[in-house]
Amino acid sequence: MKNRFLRVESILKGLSYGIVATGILSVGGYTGIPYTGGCVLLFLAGLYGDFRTARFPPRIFLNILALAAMIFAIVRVRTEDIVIPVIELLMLLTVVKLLEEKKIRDYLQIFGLSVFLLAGSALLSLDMIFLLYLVVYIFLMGAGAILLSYYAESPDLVLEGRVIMKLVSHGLILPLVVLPLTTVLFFLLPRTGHPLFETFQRKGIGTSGFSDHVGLGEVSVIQEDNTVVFRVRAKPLSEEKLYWRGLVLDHFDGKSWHSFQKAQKSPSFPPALQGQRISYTLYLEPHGMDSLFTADKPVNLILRGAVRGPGLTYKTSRPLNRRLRYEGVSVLSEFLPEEEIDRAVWLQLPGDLPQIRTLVTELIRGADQQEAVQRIYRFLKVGSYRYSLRDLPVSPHPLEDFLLKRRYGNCEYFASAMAVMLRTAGIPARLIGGYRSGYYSQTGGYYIVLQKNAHVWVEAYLNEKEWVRFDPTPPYQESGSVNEAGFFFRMGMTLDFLRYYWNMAVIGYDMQRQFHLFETLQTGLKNLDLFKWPAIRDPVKTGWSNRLTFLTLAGLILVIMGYALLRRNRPREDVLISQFLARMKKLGYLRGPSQGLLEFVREVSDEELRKKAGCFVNAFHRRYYRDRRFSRRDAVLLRRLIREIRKSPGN
Amino acid sequence: MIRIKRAGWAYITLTLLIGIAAINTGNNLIYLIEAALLSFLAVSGFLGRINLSGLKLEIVFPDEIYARKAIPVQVILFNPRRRIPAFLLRVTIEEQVLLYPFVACREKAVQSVDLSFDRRGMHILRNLKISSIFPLNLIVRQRTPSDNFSCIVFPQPVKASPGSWPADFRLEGDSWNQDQKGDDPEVLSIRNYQRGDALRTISWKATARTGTLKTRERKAPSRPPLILDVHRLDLPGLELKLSCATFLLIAALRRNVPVGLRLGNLIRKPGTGRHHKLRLLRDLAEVSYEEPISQS
Repeated sequence: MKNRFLRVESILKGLSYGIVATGILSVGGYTGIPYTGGCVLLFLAGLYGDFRTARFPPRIFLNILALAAMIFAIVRVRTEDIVIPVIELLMLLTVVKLLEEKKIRDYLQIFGLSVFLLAGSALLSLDMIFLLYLVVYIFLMGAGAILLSYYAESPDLVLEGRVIMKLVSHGLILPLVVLPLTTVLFFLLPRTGHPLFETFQRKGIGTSGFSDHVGLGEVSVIQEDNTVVFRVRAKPLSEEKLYWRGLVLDHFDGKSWHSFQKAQKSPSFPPALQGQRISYTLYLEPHGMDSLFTADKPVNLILRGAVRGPGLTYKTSRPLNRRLRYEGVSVLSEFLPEEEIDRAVWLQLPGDLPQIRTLVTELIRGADQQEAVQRIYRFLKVGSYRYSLRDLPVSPHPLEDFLLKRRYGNCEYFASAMAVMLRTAGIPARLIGGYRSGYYSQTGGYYIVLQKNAHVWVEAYLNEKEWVRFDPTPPYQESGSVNEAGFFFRMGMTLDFLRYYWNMAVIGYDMQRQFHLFETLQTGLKNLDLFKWPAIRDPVKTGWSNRLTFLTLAGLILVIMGYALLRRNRPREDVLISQFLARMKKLGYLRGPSQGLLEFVREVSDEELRKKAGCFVNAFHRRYYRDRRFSRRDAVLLRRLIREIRKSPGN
Repeated sequence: MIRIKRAGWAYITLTLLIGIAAINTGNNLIYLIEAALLSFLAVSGFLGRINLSGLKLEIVFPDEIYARKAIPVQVILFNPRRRIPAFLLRVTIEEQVLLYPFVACREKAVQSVDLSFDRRGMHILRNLKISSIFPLNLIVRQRTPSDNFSCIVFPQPVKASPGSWPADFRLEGDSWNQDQKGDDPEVLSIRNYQRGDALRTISWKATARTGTLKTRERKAPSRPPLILDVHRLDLPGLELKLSCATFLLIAALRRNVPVGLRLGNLIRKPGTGRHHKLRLLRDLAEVSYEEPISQS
């Protein structure tokens, strides 16, 4: 860069293209292919025009193009999806601006439209990638706006490479200060209880999971899917106890299970359960269904709009199209007491199943109810059946095929088989759909549950008093903590950890959490004991209140220090003279308004003091009139001389 | 002083629109954009303030400034700060704008501007401003320098008709050569060149020997001194008398004619040399106006 000269406008143009490219990237995946492709072509044409030919289409032509695009967009707008057409229009208008011969207002419009594009991308996706776009925007916009100032002052300005480098290095202060300030302001900006136009939010793309029916062989597709269904902030738990209950299936039609039990009476609530009681927070991704998942067996769930369904399940009033966060309390138990059930519902079978009936009759011959259940369970779990996700028996009689011919299948074959066998034996049974286990992130302290954790198990009604959980599927799932997995899996977990905090801290931040944050800060300030060092050294034990307050205070101190550093801009010689005069003033000598330093010192009556002050002034003058900058060494020496100035002991 | 620019209003509108969108949709990502926009606003205000703080302005006038004659004035912007350079500064001086794209730490940036003053006398430069739109072109921040900058403007030299000149003074021809024929050829000394020395007085031999420009000082010619009694010049009005006196003073001193001055009670003895010339011109410039005028 040395001795090179650059036109400000050229750099400004480059930055504008960078900003628009980021904007297109942020929304390009969601807009229609013709739009995206067309915009990319126009973008390239603008690039070519600006940096190669310096030829631009007539403005009137571009204005007509923009107008036509607007009319087309208005025609296309439908109330159910306003966002996409509007974003496509914005994208087109932005690239059309790039084609023009740009003046200052054009650059301003490009910047403004790009901000709207980024805002549009926020309506399309809540993914963490937004943060990357935002950071890129902050840097490019910061630099662009600084250069735009130069351009506004003098459009033909040419700057030396050295000046550009200085501008870059000092211009970096802008985004580097903007970033933390943005974070602080984000948490402080007032939130409302209910957004007015929540319908403008594009619905989250739900991951297909369970619906109110489970067909044999259907779950296997889900089980190969690594999409995150939900994350649960909880302490690590014993794996065999971890079942995430979602829906209860009662009706089997020979090929699939359905949930028709709306008329069923719910058990008394909360049920009298015995076992380990856990509290957790669940962050549910949009899945397009109404099921809410809880640790098996739930006793409480805190979420506005959640309704309790039959069979100890929870649902939302409408299909879930956005992220949800709720608190839950569960007792990890295999038993669910229920005194009275409608036996006809739980003994339903799809007509006569002679082969299965023969098999069951053989299997449970001479056994009582308890023994019969155990025999059927062991027959499937540790018998000659194996777990498989491939080439599953899909036929007019899949269950018979599974039990009598192929002898392999996945969880819904095992669970269906057990439930049907139990019902054939006259024992009420049902299928429970949900998820099994999950991956525990030690770093984040939460479980990730993926679609591949989808699972179906059985509950059998025993002893006329309770439902008992049976999981006849042979062990198959990979699980365990992050550290046990491979490199890519670990990377994936780390990425998920970031995504988890992104969802928790950014996406899920609302008025309630804002109040909570302020309350926490207030409490922390009241109780904070800065001298209680152990509390600060061990933040885990002190809780959020102290940690947050401590972080806020530390942040404030950093800001004040930064400000003080910036304020410390006075030249060294000024600072030294001020220090010298302050010292003299303390000793009773005040310099007159236009008195020279030597003149001032000559008037000092105390001989010892005069000598010392004179010594400083002479040393100062020797350096000052050398017409060179004061070095650090000079400053140290002169400061020492100032310290030595004191009255003689006699006076 | 702060003035919001049109781009600033556009930025505020954009921030408001995004803010409304954030509240209406409850979308936290739009809240993030809003926070970033507000942060830019706050930080740019802060940086803009720092950018203007502590800057010092120096103005260097030429030694001789005559009324109604454009003179080059050096406007020096000094950035005494230790760490933070100054960016994109404008200095407005007598309605002319100078741009300083960059002033490094503890360095000076110099720009030149042509100024002309209509009237003689002491002029204090007013309407002097340092302003900047740095960093984001949203607001113009402006500061008036605390120092006063003043200069003395000498009367405009006017060559009135020779009939109005003092009886004992005649220019012996207008050309230098003719005039110089009578100069004493004896060289008194050789000194360093000073601005205003005639080209022909330069001693090229001495210059070549020392490497710096040297001027020959000749013995003053034995000429009768010229005493300029301004009020007795046969011209209408004080201003014309002062202008004519200025012309004569310059012309006579250029010919090494010792010039003295009588201005009412003020009497200056005849003399030559640059210092003497400036003193007399200053005397002429500082004569009170016949009618009080408003300072421009």
